[in-house]
Amino acid sequence: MHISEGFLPAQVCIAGYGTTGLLTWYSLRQINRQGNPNAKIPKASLLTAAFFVASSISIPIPPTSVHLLLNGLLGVVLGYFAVPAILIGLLFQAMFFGHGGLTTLGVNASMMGFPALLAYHIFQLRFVLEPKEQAFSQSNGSIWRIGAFSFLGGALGLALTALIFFVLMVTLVSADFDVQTEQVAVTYLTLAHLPLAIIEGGFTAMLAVFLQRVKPELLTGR
Amino acid sequence: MSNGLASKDLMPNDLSKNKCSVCSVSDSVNGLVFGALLAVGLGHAPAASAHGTVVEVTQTAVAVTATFDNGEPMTDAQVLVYSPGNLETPWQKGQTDAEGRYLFAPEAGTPGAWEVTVRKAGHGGTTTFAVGSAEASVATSTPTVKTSTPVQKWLSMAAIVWGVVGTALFFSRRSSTETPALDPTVLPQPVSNQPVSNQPVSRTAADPVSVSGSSGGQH
Repeated sequence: MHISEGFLPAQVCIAGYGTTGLLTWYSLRQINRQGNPNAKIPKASLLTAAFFVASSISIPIPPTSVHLLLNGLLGVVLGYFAVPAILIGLLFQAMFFGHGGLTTLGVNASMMGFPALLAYHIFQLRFVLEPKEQAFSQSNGSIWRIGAFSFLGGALGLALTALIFFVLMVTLVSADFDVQTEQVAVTYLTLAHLPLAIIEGGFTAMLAVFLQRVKPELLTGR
Repeated sequence: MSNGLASKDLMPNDLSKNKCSVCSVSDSVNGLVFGALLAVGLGHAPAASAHGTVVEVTQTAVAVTATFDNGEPMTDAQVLVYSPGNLETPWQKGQTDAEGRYLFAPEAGTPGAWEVTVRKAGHGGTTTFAVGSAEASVATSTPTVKTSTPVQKWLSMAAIVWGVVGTALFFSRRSSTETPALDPTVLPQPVSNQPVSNQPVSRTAADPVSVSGSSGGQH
């Protein structure tokens, strides 16, 4: 689900760097406002490692195979820290594995960063939709609500990334290629990510519930 | 697919039987591994003649093998071949076979850097290789990116993961040592809030913090 080098026009690559710059600026600003960012760096750092390694783990979904992304999981667990974590992870993936590329780093970071923030806000909805008697408590919410919203965050985060990838790859096919053949191939690959979205959503829910039971302060608060 | 040689028309095995020069190059581009097998023999194999029939084999072919970095072949991927003279319009278009391979025969009279682009579902890459002049007996390929062995890949992955984990450990240690100092509840409030010169001697001696501190130092 990384866009390779050479398949996007230069204007799109530059626009990708622009949106990623804005996204990173906004995320760092929000992190700074939350106070004591150093306290959350260990958690963000460890999940950056998980994100970096995840792209090397292939899951066969016939007729193709996909790899883990974990951008929704990062959004749920890290909040705004997910954006710099994804940016750093993608840079290392491009440099060491050739996944994506340096020219498409901006596009890939936006393609995974925006859905990560969406996943974070979906997870935060558990406070909006909680019963009124618990609205002013300091708890993270019930286990069931945490599990449900983290599942939605993890799954929809990846699904939105797949959708952005689909739109970019279907609309920006060079005329030198057989456009229809490429569009069919992209459609198959995108559909193969739907089961992966459920897998990652389930994984995100398991992690969030585990953290709630073991160390609830590691979950993003209100 | 349109003009490309089908695999069964010119197999590398046939070429090797005729003792031609075979140059195999692999490189990794954008998560893919391209193997450019340049089977080159710009001369002609000995012609076989029987009953008025002449069978002649011309050994000038390039085999492009495209695989994902997990070793899985890129089947049915689109291939564009650009000649050195025209990098705008593809010289040939085709599609890889079930083994991720595509064969084509570059024009012997067009030496220079040829370019091959492979794409499937938004994934792929571009590589270039050089074809020598008609007088040259061997063509060479120039990989655009060096291939890393699995050991190198795992080592680099381990190094990065260790760096990231080290960062986590560094900041977790710093935050754990900083937190008590910043916590006002653990500071001795009576002592810290008053200048030392204003404190009566008797009060300092009776201060439990000072007493316990001095006794600890003696032990």
